[in-house]
Amino acid sequence: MSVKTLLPWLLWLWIALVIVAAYVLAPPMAGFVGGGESSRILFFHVPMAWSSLVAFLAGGIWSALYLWRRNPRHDLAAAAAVEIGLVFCVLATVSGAIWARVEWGAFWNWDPRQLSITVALVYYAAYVALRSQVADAEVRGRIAGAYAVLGLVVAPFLFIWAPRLAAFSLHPQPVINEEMEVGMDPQIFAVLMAGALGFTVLFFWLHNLATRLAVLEERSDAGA
Amino acid sequence: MDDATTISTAVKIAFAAVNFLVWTGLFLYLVRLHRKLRRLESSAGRGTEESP
Repeated sequence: MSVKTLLPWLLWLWIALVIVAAYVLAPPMAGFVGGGESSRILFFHVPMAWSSLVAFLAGGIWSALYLWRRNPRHDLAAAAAVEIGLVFCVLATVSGAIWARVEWGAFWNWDPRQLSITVALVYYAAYVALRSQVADAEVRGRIAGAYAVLGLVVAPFLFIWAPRLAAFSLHPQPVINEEMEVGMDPQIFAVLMAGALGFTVLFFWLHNLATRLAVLEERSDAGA
Repeated sequence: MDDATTISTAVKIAFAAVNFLVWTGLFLYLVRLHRKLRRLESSAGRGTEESP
């Protein structure tokens, strides 16, 4: 069995272990409702938000490559990255809203991070809408590429800096604070990092599949 | 849910089992998709498996 064949199975095992660790091994975090049990959302919500940032940045990088080299495959790769990023972003937003209902009493609380992730969703939904409105592949690639390259500044601003610029946030301080320091149990932090790594690898696998599918579809359309 | 609510280990294991099943289902679907893509790529004549 080759390494390439083995990798997906290692990913399956890795995320399965993260699931077990998240529910059974990691201790509940103090200060959360349900005796700290509601904090377990952290192991899925944060890696999903992180992976969406990785996906948006990857989309920007592939777009920059397209604008430089004009290889249509780079444009398809950028579009696939943004689309997968949107899925992760929606999952992070929905899981966060459900948790907010449990922890803060309402799905929507005008928290700076809720606002910034919603703006990110709108920004990248506009990317998908923009692509769908331009028929010519070359023009589409150039316009969408420039938009996604701008995202290389917009996405880190919305995901990292903007929520920390606000004077007040409902989000838990051990996870997010102005000093950008982590103040949580090392065991919880280890599971969180393992989850983030697993989701990041999952993104790259999904991206590989989505890009290959898009290339085959384009060939099929060209041949039709 | 209030602070007095405690979740038993059995419930946590049940949650983990549901998560595990969802993840395994998604994983098997992706493996199947990967194999199907490989077949289509080889029948198309030129491999497109390399990442950009």
